[in-house]
Amino acid sequence: MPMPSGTGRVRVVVLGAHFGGLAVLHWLHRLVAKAVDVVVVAAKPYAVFKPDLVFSAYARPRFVGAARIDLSDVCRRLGVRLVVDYALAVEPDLRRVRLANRPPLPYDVLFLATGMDWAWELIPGLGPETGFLCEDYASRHVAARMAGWRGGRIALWAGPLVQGPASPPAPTACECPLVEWVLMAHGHLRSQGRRTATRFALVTPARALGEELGPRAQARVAAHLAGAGVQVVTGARVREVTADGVVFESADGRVRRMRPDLSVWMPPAAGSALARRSGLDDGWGWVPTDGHMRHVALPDLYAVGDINAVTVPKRGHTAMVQARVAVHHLARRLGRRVQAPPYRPSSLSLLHLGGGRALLDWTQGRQEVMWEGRGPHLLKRAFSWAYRRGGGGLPLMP
Amino acid sequence: MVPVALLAMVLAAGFVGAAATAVAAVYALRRLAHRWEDRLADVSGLGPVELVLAGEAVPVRDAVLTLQRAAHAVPAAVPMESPARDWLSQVRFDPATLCPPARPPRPAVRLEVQLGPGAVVPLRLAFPLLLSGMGWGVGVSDDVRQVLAEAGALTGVAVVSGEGPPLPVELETLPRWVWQWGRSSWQRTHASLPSAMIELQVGQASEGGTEVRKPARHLPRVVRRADARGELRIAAGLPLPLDVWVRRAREAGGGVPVAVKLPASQHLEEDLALATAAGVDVVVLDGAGAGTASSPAVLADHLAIPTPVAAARAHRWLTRRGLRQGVSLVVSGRVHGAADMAKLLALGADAVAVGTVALMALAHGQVADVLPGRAPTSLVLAKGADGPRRLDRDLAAERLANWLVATRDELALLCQSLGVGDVRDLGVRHLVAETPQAARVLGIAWYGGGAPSPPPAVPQIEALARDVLAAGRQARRAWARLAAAGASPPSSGAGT
Repeated sequence: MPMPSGTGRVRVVVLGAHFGGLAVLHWLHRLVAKAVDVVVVAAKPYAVFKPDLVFSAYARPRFVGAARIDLSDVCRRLGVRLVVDYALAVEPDLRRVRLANRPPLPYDVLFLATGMDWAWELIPGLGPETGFLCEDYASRHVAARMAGWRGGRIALWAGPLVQGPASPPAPTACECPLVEWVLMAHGHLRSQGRRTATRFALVTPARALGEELGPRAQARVAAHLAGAGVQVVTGARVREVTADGVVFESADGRVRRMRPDLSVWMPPAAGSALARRSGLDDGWGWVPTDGHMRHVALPDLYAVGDINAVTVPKRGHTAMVQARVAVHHLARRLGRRVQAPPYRPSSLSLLHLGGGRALLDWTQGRQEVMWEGRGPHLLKRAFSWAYRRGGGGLPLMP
Repeated sequence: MVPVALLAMVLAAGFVGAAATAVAAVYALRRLAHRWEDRLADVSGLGPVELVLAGEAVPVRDAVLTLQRAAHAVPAAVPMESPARDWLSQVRFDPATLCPPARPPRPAVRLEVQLGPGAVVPLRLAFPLLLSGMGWGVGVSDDVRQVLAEAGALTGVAVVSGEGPPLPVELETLPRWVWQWGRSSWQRTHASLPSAMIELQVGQASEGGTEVRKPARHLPRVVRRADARGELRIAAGLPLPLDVWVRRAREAGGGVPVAVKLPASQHLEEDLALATAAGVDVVVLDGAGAGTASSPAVLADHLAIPTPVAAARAHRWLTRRGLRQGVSLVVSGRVHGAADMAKLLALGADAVAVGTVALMALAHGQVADVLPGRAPTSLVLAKGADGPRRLDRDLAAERLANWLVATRDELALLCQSLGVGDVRDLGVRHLVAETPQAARVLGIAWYGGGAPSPPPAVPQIEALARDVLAAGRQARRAWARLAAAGASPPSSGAGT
């Protein structure tokens, strides 16, 4: 049981306000609002709805404004204190978080939801300047490049995921945004009659593209990419990025060089530097937890979302499910009569295919449910709208 | 017939009227000119003409500063750069012609540089440029800091924090974030921040190392909390002995380079001796005229020696002492584009830092929105953040990224034109002075003093070496064939 503060309420600190952190805030508000004082620490005063960043394939650069969620507004609605600061380290012995610009922040219960880190250093010559999708400013820059696109070669690269032996194996963090991006760019250029001037290539270290999807969805994605004329290179290992192109080793061992006019990366991903600095990780930067997302050695510390060692693929839906599991477990510890079942890995993907169509794929174990067409597209747009309007909360949370 | 006569009369009257008006106008203009001529000769009645004459004698800058001092009784300050002797405009590039020839675009010119090569984790830059220290709240607004971070990340250059506190978003965004550990009270507690380089700020060209007081109302709340006296103080002098300071920074940095930032002074060789003895990896020299947000003009306009001179002298000193391979040199102050960058790199710098020009680039497209009621600086400086209009961050970041990309490409273009395949190979042999004074001060050839010494024909030498090696390989293969056939190879030194 966590130690209550002087007010008799439990001091809960949530680090990070992405999918996992926002879901934690909403679940805390729903289940234990009267029993906790919540502080959320975020480096920016806004959150970004990252699934919408794939619209950089054809949208104007200003589209990123619509993907941002004002955190001060969300926090006001949920009765949460927002601290815009950078967490330097967690000191679990002292039960406090060291911040860059403020005195240490004490806690009784801590939720770690800061996500993973981009491991640019894994590939010589690689850096944010080579172009990537996963942050609002980077996606805006890609959109600016596409706005002035006159034709040439566009290469999409999936970087490797570095994990420890205890984590479920996965070659990449998530390839789906690259698939969505290339299919939407293809559709957009074709609708403008400019498709023939552009060649697409998608390069991944995975043996098959979209390994995080079920087999049926994988087959559909492969068919869509083939139909769009996208060259797919699997089993590739990028050796170096230079001003003269990207050098990589293909699955057959041949060393090749590609000179794209525009590169779009899903960067290499590694565990969290914050977890490493704080000694909370499994040796690889990922936080090891039990089935309720609770740290294996620190009972008052939960880790949800990408930072958790079991989270594969690194995806928003998984973070939201883990937030539910973790907060229900805390609520039960605080005396609320709620069910708190442990986390069961599952994967839900909703991929834009361009042309007003999308593909929904849900897998759990060997079960797979797939739905393709306009329905999933409308569902995804509705989800996006509701998520942003609800500040990370949905009427029906997963 | 009557209407025709009427029409003729009207036309005639109109013509006469127009002619009379013209005559009257000419007469009036002549009278006016005579009157002005008379008044110009009358010293007591110059009126507005006085302003023109005074403007010739007293520059506008001095007049504005005089009025500021008269109005507020405090040291006057003007944001942005100060005037300084412009040596760079007296330097031109010596183009590649027959030997060596200009380079084709492929293979691309190598622009990547490393600062602090002796450090465990050197700072790698996609091209040799840093966005200079412009502190959050102390100098520029939080919007500008975020724009700098985003543009820096998108182009692979480093961004220096300046004397303000670290903006959280730049710690999250920027892999090449340089923490400037300065002399202010709030900065000493931040030595453990994750940064790609730690810069110890001893002083800057616009202020020297003097004590600076900043009104707290312009500072971010997190800094204001550090001091409740209504203003914040950046102390004069070093907070620690330099060697101790460097050691602490090295411990805090975990292997990243440690730099020291100094105003470029006439005694810079002595400064370099002390700094290198203390073990710094990078020396940053801030030259005359470097930009500032609110430094006293009496300092900013008159302190320090020009940047190109500092670059040339520091490079010479480090080279003569055999320290050039281990200590990187960064210079800043009145750098406006790729040509200035290339000249400074050729004079010996490893990288340059820019500030004012980056602010101009990021504000492009938004200045008209604040004119004429507000100054353009209100878009970017910290005190402008209280105003009604905030910077459009997305637009500003893209503008600055565009400027950085264009500057990078222009630098590559210059290198191509000089026959240089690696920006690190730029040297004084690629420069030529337009005046004998510039040639003497900067140590480069003057085009009026005879032909500059020809650059070494590196490609020719390389080609010759390749031919010699190839010939050697062929000879070895031939001897191997002969040996296999039973002949013995010639002994060393044997004639052919």
